[in-house]
Amino acid sequence: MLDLGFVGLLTIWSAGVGLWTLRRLGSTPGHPADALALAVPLGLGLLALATLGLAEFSILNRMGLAIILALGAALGSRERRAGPGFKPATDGLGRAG
Amino acid sequence: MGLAGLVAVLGTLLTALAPVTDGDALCYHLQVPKLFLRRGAAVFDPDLHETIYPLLTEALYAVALAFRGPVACRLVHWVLGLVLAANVTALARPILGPRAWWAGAVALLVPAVSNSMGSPLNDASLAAFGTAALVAWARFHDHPSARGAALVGLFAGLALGVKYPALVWTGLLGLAIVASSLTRPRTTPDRGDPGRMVIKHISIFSSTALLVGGGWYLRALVHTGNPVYPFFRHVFGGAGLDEVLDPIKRPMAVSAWNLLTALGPMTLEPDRFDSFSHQFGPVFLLFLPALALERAPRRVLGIAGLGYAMMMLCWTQRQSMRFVLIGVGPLAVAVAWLASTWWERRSTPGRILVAILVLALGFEASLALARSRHGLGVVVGRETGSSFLTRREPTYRVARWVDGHLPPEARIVGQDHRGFYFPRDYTMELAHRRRTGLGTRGESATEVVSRLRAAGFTHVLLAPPIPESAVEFDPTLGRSLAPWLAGRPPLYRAEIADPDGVVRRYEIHELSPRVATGLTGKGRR
Repeated sequence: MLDLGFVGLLTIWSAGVGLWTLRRLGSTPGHPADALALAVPLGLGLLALATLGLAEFSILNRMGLAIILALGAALGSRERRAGPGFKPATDGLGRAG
Repeated sequence: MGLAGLVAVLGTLLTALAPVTDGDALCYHLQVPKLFLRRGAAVFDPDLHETIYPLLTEALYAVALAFRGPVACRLVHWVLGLVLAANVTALARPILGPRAWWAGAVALLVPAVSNSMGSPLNDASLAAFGTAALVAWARFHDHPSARGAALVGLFAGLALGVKYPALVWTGLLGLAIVASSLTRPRTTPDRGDPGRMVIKHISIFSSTALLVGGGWYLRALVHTGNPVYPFFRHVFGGAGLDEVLDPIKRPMAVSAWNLLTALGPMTLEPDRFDSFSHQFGPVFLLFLPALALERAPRRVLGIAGLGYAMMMLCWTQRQSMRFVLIGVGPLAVAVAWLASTWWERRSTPGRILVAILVLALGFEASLALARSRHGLGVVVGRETGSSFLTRREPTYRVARWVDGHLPPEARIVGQDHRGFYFPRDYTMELAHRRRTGLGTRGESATEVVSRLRAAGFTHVLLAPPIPESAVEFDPTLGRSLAPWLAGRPPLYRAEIADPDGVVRRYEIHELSPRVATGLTGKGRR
């Protein structure tokens, strides 16, 4: 169950980072489920690239990963304070979400 | 249909909560991040050539291993399976509206997908990132813009970091970007002549994909001279392995007609191409031909066509269902459209066809649930993870002896390809032999031992099946060392059965000129 909790937190983290990135690109889908569908893999992908970066600089360890996760959490909390990026009634293409 | 989807989610979750025994995971998907964490760096181990592959998923496994363990890795892949289903739903939403989730359910219930979700590999991961790229393209298609092209490139780049088939997908997405830019509506943000728009959008897409995904290929180029190591070495003039594209990987002759109709044999004879577990299931073969009879929207045909084109191109090189799961989402959208159309018709035959689809999906859901039975005892707390692994994973038992009896600096070269549970440096002997040719030039047993010691190995692990013909097995190491092994008792010996019933005789010998004093570990199961 601890593993499930950890991965759950990681997914939430990824959603936060992913939504922040989508908002910067002006590409947040209108439907909340569609927004999360893109945000989660985006956040996970960026985490993976950051991990590769740590590994290439030979600092792949818990401390390095914790710093990345902390930075991402900070981005995600800013995203949460910014409010939902998706329009409640229609998506960005003018269709009903 | 919703119930079948929920059953599959539950079944795959229960599977993902059990300790890892998947062979490929223990061979490299978990072994590589474990090695990187031990060294604190992304090293290239020429005897574990997967260390130079695109490793985006394995980088996530490194995060999970650093803070938790292999079950967390399994759950990461499970989440990516859900991401796949969510993106297939997003892909279908402009077409099916509130019934978009039908497409997500169809995709999730494909046995190759649900099976992959419960294993810490990278097939569902590739499908998840690839489908997200397709969703981004669909949004670009509806509203072409520079930012939209960049988002498609971003996801394509991430997919490129997962596995090589994404190269094919990225190429197809590039063509789709060109097509979308040429046919854009007049009310789009980007104005200008179509030719300049195409160049602008394809440049943004390509450069973003290269920036995001190119690092993995640059690593391979730097270390081996081949950016797609170990494939296509004759094209790139660098290192590589011809075995990875051996004709045995293509059971079906590569012809235009065979590729076009490959869905048939791959559905009906999954064992011929991959395995029963990694099959497409009956749904695509049963229902997709109806697209020829129904007037499907161009969007449905275009998406399904992209998915099938990807599959066909990949099948020219390797014919496995696991490597083309990106195509599952687009095909699922087409099946869901057919089902929705028939349901809307409110005719008895239409409703019967949908009922047949639901029955097929129910069958697939039962497969996903049945697969979870092996680890159920651990999940509900009736058995510990260690007990489960001792019972079902032979290398775990051997590794526990290694942990208690071999020095921390021991380096093991072994015949078993599953090295993850060994708490010492472990190298697959076959990989070492492929690279160095050791034992293939008529060397004496003493010479082989001497060369292994010179390479830094301190111990050798033998693991022949009993009888040797029980499974596909390369006996070269045992046979070349036979004179040296004669009269030399092993440090450890045990006969252990795999869950599928194959018994292997595990022996560990010290690579020392001195003869060991006797067994310090022995067992039979």
